[in-house]
Amino acid sequence: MAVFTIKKGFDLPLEGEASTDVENAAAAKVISVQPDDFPYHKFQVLVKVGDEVKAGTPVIASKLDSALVFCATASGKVSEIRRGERRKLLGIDIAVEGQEAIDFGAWDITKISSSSKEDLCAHLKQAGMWPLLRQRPYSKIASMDELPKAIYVNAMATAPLAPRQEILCAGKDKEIAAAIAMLKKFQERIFFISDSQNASGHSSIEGVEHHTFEGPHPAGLVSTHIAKLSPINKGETVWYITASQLALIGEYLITGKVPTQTTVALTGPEAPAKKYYKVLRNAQLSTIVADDAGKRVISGNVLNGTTAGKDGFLSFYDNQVTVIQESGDRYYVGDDQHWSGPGFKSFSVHNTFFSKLLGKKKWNLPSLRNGGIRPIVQSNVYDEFVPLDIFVTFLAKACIAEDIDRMEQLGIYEIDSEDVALCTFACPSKVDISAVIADGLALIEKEG
Amino acid sequence: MSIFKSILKKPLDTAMEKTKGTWMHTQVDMVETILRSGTQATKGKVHLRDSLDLKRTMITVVMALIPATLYAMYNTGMHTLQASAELTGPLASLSEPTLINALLHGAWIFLPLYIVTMMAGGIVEVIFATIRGHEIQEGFLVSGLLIPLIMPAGIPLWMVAMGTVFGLVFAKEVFGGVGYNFLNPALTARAFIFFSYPTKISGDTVWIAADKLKDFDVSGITGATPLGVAAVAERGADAVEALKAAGYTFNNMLVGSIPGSLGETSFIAIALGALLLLITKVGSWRVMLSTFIGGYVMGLIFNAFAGPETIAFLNLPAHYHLIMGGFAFGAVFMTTDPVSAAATHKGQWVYGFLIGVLAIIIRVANPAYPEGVMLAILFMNVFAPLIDHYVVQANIKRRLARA
Repeated sequence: MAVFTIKKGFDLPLEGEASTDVENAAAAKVISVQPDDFPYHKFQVLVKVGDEVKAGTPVIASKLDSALVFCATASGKVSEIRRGERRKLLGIDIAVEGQEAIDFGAWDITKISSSSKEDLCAHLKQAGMWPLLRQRPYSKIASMDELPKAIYVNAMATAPLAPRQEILCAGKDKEIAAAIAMLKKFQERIFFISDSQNASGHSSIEGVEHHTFEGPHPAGLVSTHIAKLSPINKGETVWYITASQLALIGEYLITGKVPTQTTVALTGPEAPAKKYYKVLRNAQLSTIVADDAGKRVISGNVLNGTTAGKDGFLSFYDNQVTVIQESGDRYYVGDDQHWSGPGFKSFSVHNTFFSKLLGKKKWNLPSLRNGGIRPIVQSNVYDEFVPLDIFVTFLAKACIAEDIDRMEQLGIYEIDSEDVALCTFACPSKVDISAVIADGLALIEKEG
Repeated sequence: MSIFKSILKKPLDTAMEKTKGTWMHTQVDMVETILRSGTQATKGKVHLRDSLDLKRTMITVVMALIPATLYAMYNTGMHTLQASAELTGPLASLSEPTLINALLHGAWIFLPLYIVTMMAGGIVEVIFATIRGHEIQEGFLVSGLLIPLIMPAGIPLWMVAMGTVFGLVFAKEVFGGVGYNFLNPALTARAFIFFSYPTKISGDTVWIAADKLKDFDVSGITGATPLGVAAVAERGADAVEALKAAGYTFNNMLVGSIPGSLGETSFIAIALGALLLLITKVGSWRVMLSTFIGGYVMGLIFNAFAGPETIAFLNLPAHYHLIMGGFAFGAVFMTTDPVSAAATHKGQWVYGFLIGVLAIIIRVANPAYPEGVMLAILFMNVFAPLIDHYVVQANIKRRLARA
């Protein structure tokens, strides 16, 4: 049990933190299984429009592994199979009806502990629960072909306005215990990461190595934990999952049925209400955000999230919805917020605006790009926000140059696009470093 | 809401609309982005961006240069007024050595240099931006002010224009523009003029705008800079005494009321600019500090070799080196160009230190020319990637050792 204090990074002072109230949202009318939530896979559609499905009915399967299916998380009828350009599969929409669920059989702790990992894997895969387990590098769905050298359970989050894991997992101790028993069959070494606020609440969880991380974002990201506890070298794999996702697996193991509900924090300066909601998994966001005029509704947080809109859906891995202002005002020469003005009302992590002198306050930040895209000029900016032993500028340039050897040398396996989100935020040249790293990872994964 | 919005909104909207798709769009776009902020929203997974953009970064450097610029104008004007000759030209009636008159005379000499630089450089930037189809880069705001400040007051305007064009094209645009230059463009401009027209940029007569005052007898005054005095002092003489004899004390070199290139004379004005760059973190403190340390250390080493038979320059106290010539200006404004400097923190210490050391070596050991800062910086610009290479290699080896 160790305490790690992270110094590099930054906590964005965004308005709109969710209060600790948990409310039952109005039942969503539509849910959707979206392939974009699962990169590196191509899919085969298993249903047609009009088919009746129950919670647990497979709707798409991975072409790489036909046993890896993705299931409906509520019962109803398939209402639409959305496709985009060049017939790219965007989502299988299901109009929710009834409460039917497939019973895959409840497993108790004894059964879990005495089963083989292959049986456990198959039991989870058939209900579409296996994808909750992901691996690094690449942040793709875990695979039995690459068993991990450690498993990381993340019970903390430092992303802007991120929900508290202890609220998401309230009352789910048995479920977490069952899921940990399951994880142990794959790898004995399980790291359970808490922050200083919830560490004591988690100390009763057994069979894991507890560690506490403190500090600004990205102290709560799994790359930071991996770097400090057991760094990944070429050829090695680790698995990771959040505590609330682990609780979902535990709920499935105990009940034998696919959990239909999850808890989501609605956050952000433009959110209609800032609190936690119990919603259907993969629900359409209109259940909690009624109106998105002039707003950007994001599944996830502002540093790592997908623009969904009120008609979009909660992503498979997300427990947060953030609502911010879409675009913003134009500022003219002479305005405070113009690039030449003093900037009392302009937020920055840098010392170039007088707003720095105003002290702590929360900001309502819009989705403006705030400048033209330029080549990288200030190469010193990035490393201040990344607490990993990686030279981000050099790695980014290796990714842009598609130099795979150099990417490997500079640590591409230890990083993910979410780790450099703050770099993307802070870059004066408005370069999307997150996309650069993501493209670099995709290139290496494809080339083998 | 400012009054500018009501004046500018309609014309800008119309201009942007009408020029869409034409070759003029780049220029109109440049003007538009200067006068008002954009409404482009973020794309991708990161939904917010910091307020700092490259325009503000460059403007911060320009603001840091203002004290040096103002002093440059005052100093040049003062020297013009104190020269014992008849003034000619439109400002001839202002002959009292007052602050206002000095500034006006100085502006009369500085502003044409600045305008010519901006026009020559602006044309280069516009041509390249139009051909390449991207927005006009802001890096030129800084180079445009740096170039006149490293020129002597008496330099012909056409020479500055040529140097600017050469520096911008061959040190920057050829490699891709802002962010791709491996040499400092302002210093490259100066180097071009230095190697092509050495008598116009060094020596004793260029520091006062002699040929800008007609009917002026140049042999009447010695305009040797402190470095020039120290370089030619007698063997075995005390450098500090030689300087005092020429009228240069530590104090007036600190304040800057001495001849020299326009912006480099006043350590205090440069220090004010350095303060702004350091507070805003636009300039790397590691590079600045290590350059001063390197220069000081080399000055001390030379002091150790000083003796009754050696040249006087060797016994110049190390702290004098730091305020004389272009050392301070180069250390604060030239070495800190983030693109041509080393990118790693460890690399920046080595880079700055070697610049300081080299600048003093070239100064003292080179009999032909008493200033080494420009050459030292350009030399280290070339080596910066090599320094970074070794720092990154250490990171790579650490990673391999873990495997």
